Amino acid sequence: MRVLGRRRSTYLVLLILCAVLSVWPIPLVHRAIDLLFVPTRIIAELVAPLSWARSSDVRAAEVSIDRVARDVRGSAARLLSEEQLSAMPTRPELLIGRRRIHGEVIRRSRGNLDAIEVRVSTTEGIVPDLPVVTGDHYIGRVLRLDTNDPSLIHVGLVTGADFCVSVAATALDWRGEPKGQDVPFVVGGLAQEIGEDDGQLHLALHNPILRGLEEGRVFVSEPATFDSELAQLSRGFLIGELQTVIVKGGSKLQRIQSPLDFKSGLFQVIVLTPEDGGAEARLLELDTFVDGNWVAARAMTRGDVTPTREGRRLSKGALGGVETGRAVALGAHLIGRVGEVSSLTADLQGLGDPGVRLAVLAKIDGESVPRPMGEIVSLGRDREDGTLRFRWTCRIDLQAGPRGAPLRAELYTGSGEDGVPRGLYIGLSDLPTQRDTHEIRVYQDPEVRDLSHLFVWTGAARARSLVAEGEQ
Amino acid sequence: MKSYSRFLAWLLVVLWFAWIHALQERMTVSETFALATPDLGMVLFIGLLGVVKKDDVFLLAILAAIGRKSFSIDPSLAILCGFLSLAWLASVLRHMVELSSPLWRGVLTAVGACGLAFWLEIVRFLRSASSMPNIEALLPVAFTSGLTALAIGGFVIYLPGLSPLRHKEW
Repeated sequence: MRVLGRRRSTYLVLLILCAVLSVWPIPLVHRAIDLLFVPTRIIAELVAPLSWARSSDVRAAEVSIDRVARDVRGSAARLLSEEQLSAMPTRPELLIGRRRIHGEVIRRSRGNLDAIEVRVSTTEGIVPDLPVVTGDHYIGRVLRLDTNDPSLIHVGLVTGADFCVSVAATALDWRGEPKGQDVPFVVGGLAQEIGEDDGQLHLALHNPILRGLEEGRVFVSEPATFDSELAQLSRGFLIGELQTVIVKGGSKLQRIQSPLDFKSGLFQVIVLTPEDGGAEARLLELDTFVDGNWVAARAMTRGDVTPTREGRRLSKGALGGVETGRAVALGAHLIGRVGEVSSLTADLQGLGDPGVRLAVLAKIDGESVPRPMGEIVSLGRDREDGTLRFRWTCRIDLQAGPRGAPLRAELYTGSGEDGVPRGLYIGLSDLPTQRDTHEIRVYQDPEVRDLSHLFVWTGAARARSLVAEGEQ
Repeated sequence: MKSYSRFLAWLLVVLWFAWIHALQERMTVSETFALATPDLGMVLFIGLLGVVKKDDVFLLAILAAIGRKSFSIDPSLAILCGFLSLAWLASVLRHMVELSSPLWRGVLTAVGACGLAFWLEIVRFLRSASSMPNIEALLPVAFTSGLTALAIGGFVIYLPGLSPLRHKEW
């Protein structure tokens, strides 16, 4: 094997190719390399005696987590039920003549950040162009029904560059009551970002003639024309607050600030259909804690040889039903997400592994309804105090505690991250309230890091029921 | 008979890489060593690199990568690429320096440990588009790995069962 002697340049080219494929993997190459690394499954077992010494600690941690699992699951279920109900419109005039179909955001549509995929409780009566809302807020329209999954629809968001919706702005008096005449215009797409925005999204106005109106509340006001019967269902739903800011050069920019986080904080939505479109739809059932949706796997290692990473190797791979990105949990606690998967093993990225992303729901102290926080990205674990560090861009309105104190909140997984079911407990955190990008600290139960017998989310029960529905 | 003993020696290389990486993993999660854990796998790899035949270097790099991947969540191909690059570097350096001397072994181990960790951080960063690689955290690894290679690098090559792989001319 005179690889280094005579063929040094070929070797160098192969190395560069290897490096490129490491960063931008190709499935076919990954499968070939996977064969070479099959022995890693056996090697991890060879050193099992090293873990015997701490097996009693592992068992104690598992018993402890299991003991609190029922309580945590109970509170998560209550919380998620509150969250679902909070997606229903509250103002009485928004309920009249409308049938409501509940849906949960599953993921962003592939290659399109301005569209989401939503699992709905029924597709009966759902057609393209129906309005989609959350609470009293308008978010977009149904684009199409999914051709492969009978319970999935695709929704185009108002942030889309080619999206247009007729709206009206109204000025508010000091009591927050409307005053003066409504000013009609069109909204759609994102407004130009200015320096101090720091990740905040604002909706754009099209050809506005605002007659001096600088601030006010903006709501949907689709005109009553013969071809807009479906669109009219959205009349009266809120879009956001009209803002006027001075940009470079002294000119004015008018835009709309939404109280919703369109980028990653849409979790529960409602599709509005005409009232004669079928029976009132039920809420989606919480399937996070259904045993059939999880597959058991064992953590074969305790940590990672690379000191800057936090991960473990799992005893099951693709042949055992494990897929990249899936949640790993025990009881009601989220342990991490599945990273690279080979046929016999898989990598578990702990929450302290830099780069792990989660959509998060916050149960703030003193509030009964949880708030969608949007996405948080792990920056690693603080080795001094063991807390998890996350980057979070706050795009929602939060009321600060007394004297501007941060808000104490319990964090749970939310919706919209493919492979991570909602309602898994992450930890406790103090949340800042300013709309800005923050580094937040999350206190995670320390026993979570000692667990060995874990469960990987497969969503198998859901898939089976979908197949059954399809067959019927 | 000779090929049988070499085959057995390669199996033992796998076993030693497994145990040494397992030990390294335990040290990494401990509070005592944490970020300053020496890269013991690299100490063994560089140690053996200085004594095996040049034809065996490629296989040695593959086995070292398999040993590391067993205890790491870094991508398999990235780890393999890292070890193969070090093997290539060693093949270039062998005409200039004495790799089996303690000093060069220490230097190359420090460079190798830091370089591999940095490369894996780069891959993680580019794949996840999250936080920038933490280069400062890698320096203690380089330092302790170099020191460990200086202290015990000469002994690890004499681990039981590896003598059929040792070669005087390199």
